[in-house]
Amino acid sequence: MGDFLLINTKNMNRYKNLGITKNDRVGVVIAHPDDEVLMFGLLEYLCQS
Amino acid sequence: MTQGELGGDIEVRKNEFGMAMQSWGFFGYIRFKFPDMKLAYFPLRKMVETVARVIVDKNITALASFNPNEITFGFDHPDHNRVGEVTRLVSAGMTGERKLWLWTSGGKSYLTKKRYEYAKKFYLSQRIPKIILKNIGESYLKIR
Repeated sequence: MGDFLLINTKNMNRYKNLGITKNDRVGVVIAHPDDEVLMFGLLEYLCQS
Repeated sequence: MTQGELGGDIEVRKNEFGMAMQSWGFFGYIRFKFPDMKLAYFPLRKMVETVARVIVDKNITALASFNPNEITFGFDHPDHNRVGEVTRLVSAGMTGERKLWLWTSGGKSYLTKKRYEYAKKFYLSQRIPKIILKNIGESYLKIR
């Protein structure tokens, strides 16, 4: 199991610990249209970075 | 992975998703047509190969999906776990750093208001209960 990154704060800097870089092209795989609601914070971070 | 056909009219869901994705404005998306609620019974290899092709075509370097073992009230749906498993297998076959993050419901929920407003704005047909969004957190297992 990998590192557990707990994100229960409004501080988006927590996402930096995922190690996303400017060069990354991130793919998000979900099962249904609307599942992304649960990953809202990550999407917002990707949008900002 | 699915069109969410068991959760309402396909065209409605397609349009809702399209509008939602457009609102983010920073990425493209691909909709597959694997059977809703039946991913657990659908041949794994077919799904992995299909997703893997896209990953290569689009030069994807990192993947995020649901933890294949996540079982939480409000989230529990075999399709969610299955896409996590598909993603894990696709990631294993990637080259380079193969970054992989698996969502879990750990921790307190945050951004609840934003999440709820987003769901209400784009997914009118789904009526996602606020209590669900309030109770489900957003954390990630950083696999690599």
